[in-house]
Amino acid sequence: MELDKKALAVTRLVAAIYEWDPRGSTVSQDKGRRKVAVDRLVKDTLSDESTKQNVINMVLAMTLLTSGHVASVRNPEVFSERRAPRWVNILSPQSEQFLDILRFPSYVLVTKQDYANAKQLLPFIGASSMLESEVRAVFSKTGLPEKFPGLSQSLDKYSEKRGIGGYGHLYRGLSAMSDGAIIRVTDLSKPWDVTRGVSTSRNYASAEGFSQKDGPNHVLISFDNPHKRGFNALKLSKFGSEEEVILSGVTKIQNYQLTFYAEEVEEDENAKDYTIQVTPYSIFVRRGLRAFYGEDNISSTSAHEFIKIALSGKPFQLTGQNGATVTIRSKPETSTLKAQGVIQ
Amino acid sequence: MKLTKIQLKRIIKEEMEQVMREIEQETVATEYDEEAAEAELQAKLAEPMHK
Repeated sequence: MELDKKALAVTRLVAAIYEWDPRGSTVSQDKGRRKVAVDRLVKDTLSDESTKQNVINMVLAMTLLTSGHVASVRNPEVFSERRAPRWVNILSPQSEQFLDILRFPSYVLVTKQDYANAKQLLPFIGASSMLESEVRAVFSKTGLPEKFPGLSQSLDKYSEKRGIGGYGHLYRGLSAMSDGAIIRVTDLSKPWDVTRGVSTSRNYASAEGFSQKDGPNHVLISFDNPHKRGFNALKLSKFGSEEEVILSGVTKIQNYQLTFYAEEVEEDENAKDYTIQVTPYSIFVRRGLRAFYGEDNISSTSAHEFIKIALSGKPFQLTGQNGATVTIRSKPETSTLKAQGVIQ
Repeated sequence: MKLTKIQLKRIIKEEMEQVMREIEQETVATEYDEEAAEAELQAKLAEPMHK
């Protein structure tokens, strides 16, 4: 499938317009100006029906991933037509307006075919990358720079935040993970396939908050995104405050910092709790508040082997800097993991 | 040697605690299953990221 670059440029511009502050005197005046801007953009850029349909399909696919039925996005066959919502129920107000301008009837029911279309399209829009200059070229051919100079200034001044050329860094939080999943994330030898398209955020704090949403074992992943891949959902998503970007590609984790807790197996009144910190190059263990064990310049394979043993829940021995050997066991699901990876 | 009731209670209590510790240890310890971990990770990543 070849991605329609013009359609992608239009969606990036629309996402930027819905974040633009037109400085009107009332909220409704601002909304009105944004609507006029989107309307003008559509009229000036989407004259042919196929590009228009491609834009509609992109917005619908993004909507199903961000506010549709999660299992049906992965497997459209599980979608129940009897419980189908209307599009209007899962669209953001901005997407509803945009689709209305595109003449899409958002009162119709979501279908299994819509999920099948989304499953097919998400890998492509999530992996899409487009130069800022290409998007600007589309913008400059419309009447928008003349009609709304404030919008042009907004794109210039906040070009990085608006992301019309994509985002160089994206973030993903994961909560309530098992210890096994923590072990998997810290395996640097194996990349992950996230080519189906996943929800990330341009906002670190938003992803961090999500990672701590519930349950133990918090994971926060920072993706370096050198090709600035992704589909800017932002306010087109029903959850606009999360500043979502749909991303797809193969990820390689390059670095991490893992912290978890352990306790001595032998119960004695002087038994201490242990704090264990592991990176791909080091292991550091604190007994109570004091440094107990440290190892630097180890290989990422050794670090991962240590994590596998430590998080298995089985007792293991450590000989501290003071020569004392202790048998300790990790406390289940007490991990906090910050990982950094690159989207290839 | 005849044990008092208190001594007997203490021995039973200690034995019980030891057994409980062993059971706990057995249930907590699990083998790392890479395939299951990968599936869990993919399922979690498929979820949208909002509270």
